[in-house]
Amino acid sequence: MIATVVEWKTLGESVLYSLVGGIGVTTAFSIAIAGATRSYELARDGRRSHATAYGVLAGVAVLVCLAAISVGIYYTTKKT
Amino acid sequence: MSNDIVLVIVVATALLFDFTNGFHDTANVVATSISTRAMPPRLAVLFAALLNFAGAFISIKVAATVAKGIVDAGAVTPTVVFAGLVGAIAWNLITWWYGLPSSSSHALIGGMIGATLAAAGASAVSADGVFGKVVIPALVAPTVAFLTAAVSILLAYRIIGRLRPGPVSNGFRIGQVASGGLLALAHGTNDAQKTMGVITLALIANGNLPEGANPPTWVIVSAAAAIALGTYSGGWRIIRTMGMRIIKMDPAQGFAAQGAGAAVILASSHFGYPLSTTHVISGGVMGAGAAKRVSAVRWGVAGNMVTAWILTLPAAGGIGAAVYGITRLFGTGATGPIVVAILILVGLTVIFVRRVQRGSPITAEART
Repeated sequence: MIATVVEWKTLGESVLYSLVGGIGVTTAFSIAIAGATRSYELARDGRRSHATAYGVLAGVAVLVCLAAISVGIYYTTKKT
Repeated sequence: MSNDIVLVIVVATALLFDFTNGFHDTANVVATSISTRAMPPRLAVLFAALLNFAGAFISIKVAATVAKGIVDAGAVTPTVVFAGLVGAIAWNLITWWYGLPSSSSHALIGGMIGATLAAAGASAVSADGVFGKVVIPALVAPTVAFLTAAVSILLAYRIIGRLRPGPVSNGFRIGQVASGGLLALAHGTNDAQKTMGVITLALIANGNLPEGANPPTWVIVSAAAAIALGTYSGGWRIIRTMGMRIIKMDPAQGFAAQGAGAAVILASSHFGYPLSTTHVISGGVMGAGAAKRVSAVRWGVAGNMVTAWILTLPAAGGIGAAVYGITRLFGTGATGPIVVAILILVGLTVIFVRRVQRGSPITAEART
């Protein structure tokens, strides 16, 4: 009975999107914070090249977060 | 004429429900940001209210599914919708009074089921629909939010583990402004649509719209405004429970819980599942707490919440059925809904006057 009542494919996709989106955004944002913090500390210690590399990492991670959020909002407005 | 009077009462009651939905579920959106001090309370609710309003315009997919497949559309009259809404409003106010973050969505669906049962009997309610569209999502959504937040916070702690806590906390607080905003947008998208769906159902039942019609623009705008106003009013009792009584949150946990909640709500809105934002955010908050330390979650508070969740459907349904019975005592015309609407207004006035006389026990300023 359960198998016919529940749209398992849709439910499964919803679960997958939730897991990937939620975990992905938090992970990317954590990398952004870690990158920015390390970049600041290294710049303060005069290690410019390493600081730049961490700064770039932070920037890319922020872009990933923004892209994920944009995709999330886009797909919410788009018909299934 | 009589039908039009009932329809006007139904629309007003639906907007009142929408207001209580925003007011009751404000906690879902702002509690984590307030408890980690990412935003001041008043600014947080204003921010959430504006994004709730904007979110209501994003999609109408949930509006189309809110009662479809759960109750027989042919059995739904404006009076049934009215009785269901009163059941939902009453349960929202009861749980708000006790500071319990229960589901406004399930209260609405429960109220509709109860009123339909009273009006047309069990054959007008689809057990399969209730199971597939309410019970399963109610079990899956908080579990997924719990797991998402738990895995997220474990990864976050691993990434930021050896860094100085000050800048890291400030970074997550900034992130919470964005994740809280996304959550508010998702909440507006998901929850405002339920009221749109109910008003549209009443308009169809009254013959003002054809079967399968989308909500008209005035319905979308008024539902968006009502939920935003409710959100701005702030349900501080529930905010305290959600933000401080389940776990003591740090900014990283707040971000993980909000991110998990927004992801689950947006994904389910995409697929048209009318899930409970309350269940989702509560699951996220518990997951973010339990992943750090299982004993960090106050399981007694969590247990009370789960009990309220289980009671929501039958309690709101019982009230909805009783209200339908009362309206029928006055016949099938507009008299019954008018009498009940007057009683509701008197009840709300008494609550408001008593609250003003006593002073508000829990406010933005007295939250900690």
